[in-house]
Amino acid sequence: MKYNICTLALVLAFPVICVAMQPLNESQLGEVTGEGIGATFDDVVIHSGNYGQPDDFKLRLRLSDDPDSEMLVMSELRFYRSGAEPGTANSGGFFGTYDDPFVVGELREITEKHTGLIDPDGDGTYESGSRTHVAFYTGFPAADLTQKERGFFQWTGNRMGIGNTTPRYANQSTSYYRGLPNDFFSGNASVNVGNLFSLTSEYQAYLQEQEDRLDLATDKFDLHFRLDAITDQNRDKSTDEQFLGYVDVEGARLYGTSTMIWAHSNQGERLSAADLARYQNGGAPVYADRGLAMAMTTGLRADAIRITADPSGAAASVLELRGVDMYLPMGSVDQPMTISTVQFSQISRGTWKNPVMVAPSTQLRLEIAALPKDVGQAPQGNIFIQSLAFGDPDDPEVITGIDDIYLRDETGNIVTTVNDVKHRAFVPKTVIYNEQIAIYNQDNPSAQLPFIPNQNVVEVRGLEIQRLVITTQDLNR
Amino acid sequence: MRYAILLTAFISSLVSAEMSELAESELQETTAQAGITLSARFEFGDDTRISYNNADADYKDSQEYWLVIDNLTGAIEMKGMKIDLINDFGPSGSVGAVQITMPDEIIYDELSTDGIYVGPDREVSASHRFIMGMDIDGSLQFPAATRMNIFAIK
Repeated sequence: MKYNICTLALVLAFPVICVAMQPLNESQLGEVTGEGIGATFDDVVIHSGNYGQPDDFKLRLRLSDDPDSEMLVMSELRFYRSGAEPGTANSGGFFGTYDDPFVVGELREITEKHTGLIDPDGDGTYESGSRTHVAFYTGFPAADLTQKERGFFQWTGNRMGIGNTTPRYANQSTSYYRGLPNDFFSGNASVNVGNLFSLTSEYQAYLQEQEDRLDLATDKFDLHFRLDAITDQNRDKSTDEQFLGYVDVEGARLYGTSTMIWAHSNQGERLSAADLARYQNGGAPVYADRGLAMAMTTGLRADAIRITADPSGAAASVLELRGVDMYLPMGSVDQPMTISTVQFSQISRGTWKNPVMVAPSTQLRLEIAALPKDVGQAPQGNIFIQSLAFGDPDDPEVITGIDDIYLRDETGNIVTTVNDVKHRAFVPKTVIYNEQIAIYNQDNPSAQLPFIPNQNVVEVRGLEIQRLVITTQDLNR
Repeated sequence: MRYAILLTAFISSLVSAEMSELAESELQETTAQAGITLSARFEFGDDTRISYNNADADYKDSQEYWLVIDNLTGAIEMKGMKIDLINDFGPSGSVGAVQITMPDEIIYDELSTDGIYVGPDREVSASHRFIMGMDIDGSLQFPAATRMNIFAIK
């Protein structure tokens, strides 16, 4: 589509360097060098004051061209090295190094796995083969890293090697676990922990390898911003009435994150005739699947992602995701992602049983092309979240039980007992246990006890997009 | 590329930028690096419009489309942005790079556009589609002298 939103974003960001992207022919492909521009960032910190204060910053998006348009307001933008005091001169962090910089403008040749009839020279001569594109590559530091297995039990099961066996005889040690040893959380004075803790150490070293690489590439950062919505219902009310939420991301950094952008003529419209009829282009064909193609992979590690829904920051309004690791490929060379503006006729809200179609309006359409049959598998993503926290941890509504925690040493013997520990909804027992281990170790630095591998409360594995079309709709129509 | 150049010229004709003299205290902070220190305020007069057309693209839809940022008003001001050429970058301290030190503060003085549109002409008409309107007001502070080093990679 000619007025592709990608173009829009590029034009907004770099208005004087936008030029048309067109496929290269064979001779031009031979000149692709893989050179580009690298950038590193030092002492990165961005700060703005609280909403409504003299040093605040507000970005207002108006959602229609009416004088009394509804608005979304973003403010209190703060970005700084994790754990530092925001807005101070020593709160900056680094992002990228000379050897592992932020890369932009590198041209890379990418080839589809899909095989079909192609016209490599653009002269109308077709042959069987795979199409090759020249893509505009943008890569964040540590873009070459891939996701680590965040589930201990899965990791022990997937390790390769002859030691990866189930014990058959008494003299064989267990080398993988489907759960903690029997009675680990019980009050038995001693339990057989086998090689749990040596495997745990091995697993920690496996995870630490990525952390060490990331430490070389970038600091951890914290991000904070506030969202308000001004609507017809709250336009004349106080800012507390317009408040939507605070968003805080703590201890975050990207890995394996890169974007490819290239030009293509179309990716083959696959919508049914009935669905396609809802898109309008003044009687002309709809070209929502043409223009700039993108393949974007995002890897995010964050200690916590928190949404606070009360302007006073009340703990009861908090939803927090802890221990987040998301790796999400969106599009690939075989399944390009396109973002377009379209005219779309939506069903009037509340009439889905007997649909009443409303006049078409401009909407965004995000599309990931269908997976070609001969490619077989789309890039896979995984989401791991170690625990969720809803509201105040002392709220009886989220406490699922009170139980003693028996802290054990590496031989499986109980060292001490912590009485009446609150267990919370959506927090695995392993996380509760490790919280108590951390407290114990802080109080006993010369007699450290081993942590056990954390479990995750959310694991989405093998997230694979076969085909995706998202078209936005107006909520008020 | 010709449209990019036209666009640049168009913006230049509508935006007034002011270069201000350094105060005595600021002069004392300057060093003999190969670079410039830039303090500037860009003010957009009424009816400032940025229109962009990607005429070189070869699409199957024959209709020309323009991206229009309509009626841009307000101002952007920054103080003390530095652009230096350095030659001691990299692990061996021998690589040349452009080093940009962010200003202490970027002030958005009611920077606003009536809307961002796409449509068949460089000026907004009933045929244009509204995407969003945008207002930016307030200041973003960079209290740690954030630096960006830009260099060529192979």
